[in-house]
Amino acid sequence: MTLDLLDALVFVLTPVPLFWLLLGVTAGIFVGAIPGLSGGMLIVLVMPLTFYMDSTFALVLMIGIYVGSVSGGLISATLLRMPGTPSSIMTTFDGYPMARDGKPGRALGLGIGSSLVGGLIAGIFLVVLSPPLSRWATTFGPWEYFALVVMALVLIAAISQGSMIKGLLAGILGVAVAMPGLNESDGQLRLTLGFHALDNGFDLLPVLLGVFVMSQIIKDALEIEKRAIPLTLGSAPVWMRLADLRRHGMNMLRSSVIGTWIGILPGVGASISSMVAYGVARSVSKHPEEFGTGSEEGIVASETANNANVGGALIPLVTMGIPGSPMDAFLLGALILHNIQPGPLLFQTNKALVWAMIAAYLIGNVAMFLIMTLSVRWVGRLINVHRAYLLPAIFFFCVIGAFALSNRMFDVWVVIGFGVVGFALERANIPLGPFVIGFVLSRILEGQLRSALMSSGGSLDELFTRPIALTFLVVSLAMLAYPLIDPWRRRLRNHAQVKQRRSP
Amino acid sequence: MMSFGKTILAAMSAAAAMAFVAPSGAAAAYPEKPIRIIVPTGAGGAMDGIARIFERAFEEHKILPQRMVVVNMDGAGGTIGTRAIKDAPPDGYTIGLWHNGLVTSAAMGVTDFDHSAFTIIGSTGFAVMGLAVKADGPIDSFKKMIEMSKAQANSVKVAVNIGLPVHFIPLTVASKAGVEMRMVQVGGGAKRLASVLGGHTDVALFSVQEFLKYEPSGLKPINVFSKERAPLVPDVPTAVEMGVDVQATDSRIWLAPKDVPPDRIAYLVEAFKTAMSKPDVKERLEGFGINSNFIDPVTLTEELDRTRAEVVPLVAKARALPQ
Repeated sequence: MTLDLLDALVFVLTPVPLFWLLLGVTAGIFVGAIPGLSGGMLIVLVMPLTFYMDSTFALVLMIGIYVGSVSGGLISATLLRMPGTPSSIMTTFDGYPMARDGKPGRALGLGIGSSLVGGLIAGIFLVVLSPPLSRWATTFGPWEYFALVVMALVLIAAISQGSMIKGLLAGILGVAVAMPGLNESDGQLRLTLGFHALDNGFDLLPVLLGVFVMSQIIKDALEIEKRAIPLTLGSAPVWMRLADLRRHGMNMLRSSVIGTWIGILPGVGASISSMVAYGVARSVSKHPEEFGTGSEEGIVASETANNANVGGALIPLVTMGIPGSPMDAFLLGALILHNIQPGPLLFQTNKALVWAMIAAYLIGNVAMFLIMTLSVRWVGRLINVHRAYLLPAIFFFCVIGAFALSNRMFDVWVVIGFGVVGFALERANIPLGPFVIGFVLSRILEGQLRSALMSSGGSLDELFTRPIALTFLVVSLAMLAYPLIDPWRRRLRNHAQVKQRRSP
Repeated sequence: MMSFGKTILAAMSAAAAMAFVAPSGAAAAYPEKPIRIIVPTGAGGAMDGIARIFERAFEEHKILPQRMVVVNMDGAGGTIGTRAIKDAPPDGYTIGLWHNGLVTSAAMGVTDFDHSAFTIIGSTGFAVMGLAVKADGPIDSFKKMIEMSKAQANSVKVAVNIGLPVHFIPLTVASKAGVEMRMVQVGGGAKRLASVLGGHTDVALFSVQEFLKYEPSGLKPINVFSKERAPLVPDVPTAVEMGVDVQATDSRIWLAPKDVPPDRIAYLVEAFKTAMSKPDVKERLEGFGINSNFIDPVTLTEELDRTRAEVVPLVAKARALPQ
């Protein structure tokens, strides 16, 4: 195995594959950083061009795009408060405040370094533990998914800052937006009010583009007369220091494991990886109050997990031919179009190709790190480009990105409509985090619960008899109860101390 | 997801063609501009892959003077895309690709149109389908599945995607065998596979190609729904042999809006037949588990009518919440 991997690494480092990989990573970072454009779109665009390429080179190129695009999102998230990809939403919550406080270089450096570490740790899992992990993943049934999402919800509930009521309101609004459309659980249309355009409900990408990007465009446009305080990267190094590895090592390791694991599960996605890792990091942090105001730990958790997700999602792809994410479904399609049958036998029938894919993933992460670190000073100037030039360009890409999703104008109107919604929510000091989380998680929560109930014939028993599901549930209950118990316990202790002092 | 870049490419190649080749003969030679193929799923799936096989073949083998361009319109169980095909101008420049879900979506009430609202161009092949279980699971044969269901109603769990053929075919089996099986919503193909292999459900519908592909992972076919046994899996009995008269195929159906001029449809049929005669196209279609025979619209319409007649009586059952 080691020999196969070494062979593949050496192969990917020869000029031609390396050229395709670097091209892929660079282009990936580019589309990742532009809100609206995504790595998936780029892969689909290049797919017909790869018909004329050697199949290994084609896969190397696509994996480069995949790795680059997940990482590129952190640039716009940090500098513009606009997540370049859905998976970097959590990065905006801490990256942007940090940049605004005069430390954009530090925020970018942390994000880039964490992306590398997350990618490489997931790479280790991919190389060493692929077959047992993908086996184990199938033990996850609807109850486990349901309990996992409940836990994620509880973890992330903490993200809401300020008013509890406003956080809840935002969450419920998010759930409401997820309601309309064809309901997978019963095959019926729900709340479409007879508009066929609504038959599919509101898609993730246009809603996110609206709430996070379009609303920011509106806000920035209204304040365009105000001279922004010029931000510079300064002379501080953007490299992550060794001390950072020590300080954030535990967080990185934990977030990588979370990201890898969620990556393996089909149909969950990189944005949820980073949400869960962020939530966990916050709940174990010594400074949870810093999250959302420029916490280093928040950036590290989010960016480690979303890159680890890529490696995790490749695991079921290479071992079983099951795509762990939509992007992997594109890779799967590309394999078939190149007359390569994906599936459990891929490792035997196309050993060199599989190892080349893995090697491309590993080297792609390193290449991503180098390219982003070396170009960050140049890219960082983005923040000082006059908004009058920047905003129309971003608007343009948002519109194109939303349209390209399923070639419908409807999605463009969704972006604009939710831009207004997002802007109004922010004006009313209603946090966007819970809105998005309600929107993203409620669909999975409902679908999994209803599947589970269909499977059990309406009984909830299995939720308590299946060990993994029960564990998740107990953890969620404990976390829910903690804020209630903690002050009470403290009061009790204080009370006892007071009593002790009083009694002579 | 494609159309933007592709349209530009197509427009560029069209412009190049116009610049170098003087139009010859008749003024209104069809096609004089690129033809859009609407695929009602996202890029990457089997349906998309098949459309792209033809997109590639038409260009590589220079079968059409114009490009065909795949346009993905994902959503609402394919109905966003099928509706767009139906509502496109009937000029032969918009066609689409879909499967028997056309009939089931109408039966479920998600759409208010079925195959009769289209001009059917034909089918570029079909996949043989069958039920499969986990190799070391409680069920080891089609017979055992029926017996278990007879002994105790709803004791067999079937992983389905509600309202689509993968749901209606097992429902038809249960109804014809006079048993109750528990339908569990699981979702798309990859999820159904994971659900069966993980032991969360007992049975699911797969194509013969998937049987072969996932056998090493522990998937065991128990029957096929073809008329005769499938040559790829000669040991697997048909449902008819097991006394349950269900035949079902998963056809890849090319559609056009109603009222497209017949000469244009005939032109397209010839183009598809030419493409399918190429060995590389055959090989790629087989990669997706497709038996590549061109099936004419008359036969296909009969098949879809038959599916409709089978599915409609089951709708009440399909829509009922499981008890």
